[in-house]
Amino acid sequence: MASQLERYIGEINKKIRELHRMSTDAFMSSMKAFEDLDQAKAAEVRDKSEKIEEVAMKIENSVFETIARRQPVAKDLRELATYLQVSYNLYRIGRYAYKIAHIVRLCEGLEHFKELISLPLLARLAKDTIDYAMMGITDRDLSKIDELEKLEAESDRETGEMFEEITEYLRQRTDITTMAMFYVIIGRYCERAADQAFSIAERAVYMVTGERKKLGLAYKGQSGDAPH
Amino acid sequence: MLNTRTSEITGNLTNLHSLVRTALTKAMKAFEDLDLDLAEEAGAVSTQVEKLHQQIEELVFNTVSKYQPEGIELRRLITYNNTSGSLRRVGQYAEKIGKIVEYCEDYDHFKELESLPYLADLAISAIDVSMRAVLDEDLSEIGELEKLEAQSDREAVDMFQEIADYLSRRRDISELAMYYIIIGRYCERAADQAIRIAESATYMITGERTKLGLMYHEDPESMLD
Repeated sequence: MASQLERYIGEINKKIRELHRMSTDAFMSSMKAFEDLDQAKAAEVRDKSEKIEEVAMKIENSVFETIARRQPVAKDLRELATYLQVSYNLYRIGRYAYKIAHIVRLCEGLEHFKELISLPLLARLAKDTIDYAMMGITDRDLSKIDELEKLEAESDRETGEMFEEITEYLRQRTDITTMAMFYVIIGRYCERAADQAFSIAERAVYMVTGERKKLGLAYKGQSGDAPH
Repeated sequence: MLNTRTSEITGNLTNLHSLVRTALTKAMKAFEDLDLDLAEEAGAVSTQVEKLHQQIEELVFNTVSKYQPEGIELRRLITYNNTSGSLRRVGQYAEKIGKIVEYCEDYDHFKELESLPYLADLAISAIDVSMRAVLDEDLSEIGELEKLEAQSDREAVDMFQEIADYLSRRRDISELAMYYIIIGRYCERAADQAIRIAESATYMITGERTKLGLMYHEDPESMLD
């Protein structure tokens, strides 16, 4: 029979799964809203982001309440500390969704000056990275951790190419600076979402093995592009 | 005693704040001068930041577990944990700026760097304001943060415009231009962490979760941290 501490931890695990679903859903919806410059969809994303924050706060309260009441040690304490950190990472991903939706609002009256290919791809790569990292947290499954760096390399390549392409447009046109800035910023939000996934993966490794490990190409000095 | 533990944590937070200031200042100076040695020093400070953050996190959890605090005492510990996390992230931005200096080994600046050091100064000032709110439990300076954020937003937009002008005239600078933009964003993100710290301070003192920052005033001109 599960102890009370195990039941509390199980409840928090469920909330973390829910937060993962909400955050990635909001993030992908925000990219779709930007792609279509869809104000109604952007407004929905902003609402979702508020709900994400509420769930993250509930997790924070539950974690501290559980530590205070049940005084866990070693593995259990590590698990709770991990949930707290991961909840923050997922909340940040929800915030990027909010900010992309905010950019959609600032785009009133503007149009895309090129077909959007890189940004939806970067968003998809970020989502895959988050999903792989979250398997380590929710299921203690670290089997996909090695895949993360491949996704990161692909994301780095795409970001570099996107920036080159935008630069080329800026050389030809003077009326697109604001939209070009939004493309760069949203590209960075995708990278930052993937960055949160690396932080999640590092916590997963810590939770499962008890070891602190740095993940990502930047830490191995292999990345040919900008640090994320 | 809970008070003794709390004092130990605030002492560590004060040290962490100081380390983070040093890391960001050194990293920006290293980029300004494209100085690899200084970038390495900034990286070493960032490593210290990481370790101290881990110590603070462990202290907070052990304190909550051992003393089972409630009300303001629990909120204080939650705030210390969140503040430490925010400072750690600023340390990570400093480390990343240091990495960019390594990538710039074969480059020269194509313009005089004014905006980036200014953005770093604004971020450090914002963090100072927020840290006073946490450590002195005094929210009287919080209003300053939005002024600093507005200055930072204006500068970031002007910088992007200036870089776009350069890009339209020169073909050989796109990679360095990208680094300018990325470092500018790190500074903005550092300032964003200052806002997060101030929100935690507000929660600690009032018990209420409040949003700070220009974005929440629906200001259409507000930039995107």
